[in-house]
Amino acid sequence: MKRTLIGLLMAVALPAFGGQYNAVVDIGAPMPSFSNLPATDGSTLSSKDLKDDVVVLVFLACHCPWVNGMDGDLVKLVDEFKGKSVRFVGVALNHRDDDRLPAMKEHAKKKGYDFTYVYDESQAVGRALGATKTPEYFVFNKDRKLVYMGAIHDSPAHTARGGEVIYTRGEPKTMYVRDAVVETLAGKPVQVQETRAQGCTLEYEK
Amino acid sequence: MRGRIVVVDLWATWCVPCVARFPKMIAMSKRWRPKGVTFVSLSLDDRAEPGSYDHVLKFLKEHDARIPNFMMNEVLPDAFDKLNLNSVPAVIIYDAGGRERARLTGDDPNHQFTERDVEAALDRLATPSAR
Repeated sequence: MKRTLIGLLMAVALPAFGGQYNAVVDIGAPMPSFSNLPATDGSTLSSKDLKDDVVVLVFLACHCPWVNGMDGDLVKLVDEFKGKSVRFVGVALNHRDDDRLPAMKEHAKKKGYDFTYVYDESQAVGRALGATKTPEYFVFNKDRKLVYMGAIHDSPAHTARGGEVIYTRGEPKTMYVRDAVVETLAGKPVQVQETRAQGCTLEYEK
Repeated sequence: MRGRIVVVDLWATWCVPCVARFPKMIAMSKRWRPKGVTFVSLSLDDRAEPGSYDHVLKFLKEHDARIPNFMMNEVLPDAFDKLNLNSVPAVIIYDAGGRERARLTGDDPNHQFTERDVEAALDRLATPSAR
């Protein structure tokens, strides 16, 4: 009886923070501030430099077949919003040589990344947002409140061993990040606020 | 596996930390076998990808994975939904009665599980009073 009661108490003691798939933040959370993160183009970026109406932070890792399967879609998405007040920022933070700046520079050039791609050695931005996968998206409005987090669309894709891209659910039908950005730019509430991001685990120092 | 504690190790060949910890998991499986614990590996590699099954099998053989090994039939997003999982590596531990008793994941960046967490969970479960 005592064990059952304890079990029930544990079952109803829901975490105070965290969304459906995120252990740390929920929709509405503020964007964490960051300073002077080095970027692949040789510049540095601080959160206070971001002036656009919408900011999209996307966690990436060069080695990850899920990033490589879907960063083509990211590049297209960035292009779609050119000229609009939307800023995409890629963030890498794994402490692996094949995910650090030199590899990031090469990867960004090869894949035609036309967005700022920074490396966060401290891993603080990822920890603050509960980012645990690559790719994983966080969309913020002009008040820098989180309006969407999760996957780019509904058909996670990875590169197979031969290099071809495989969409696990066929052609994507719902473009979650695009919709969230469009709705936010229009001042409308985001309809789908959270999805499960699919990809490689981000490795944080213990 | 009836009457034994079962440790389900969820992994994939594309998952770098999964591959890194696989030998430690195999070593752990040998240490815990005499204590009534069975380790099982469950790969979330894409069955539909040509050559995927053989690739996983090759990996298991190279790592002398003499434990029950399984592969999900579903593609990753459907597998995650079915298992209510957000990422791999992950470890789910069932007691001798088949009830889930521990779920260790990397969902919290400030506490991604380690092998010590697996050992600690087994220490708690494998004592006679816990069963």
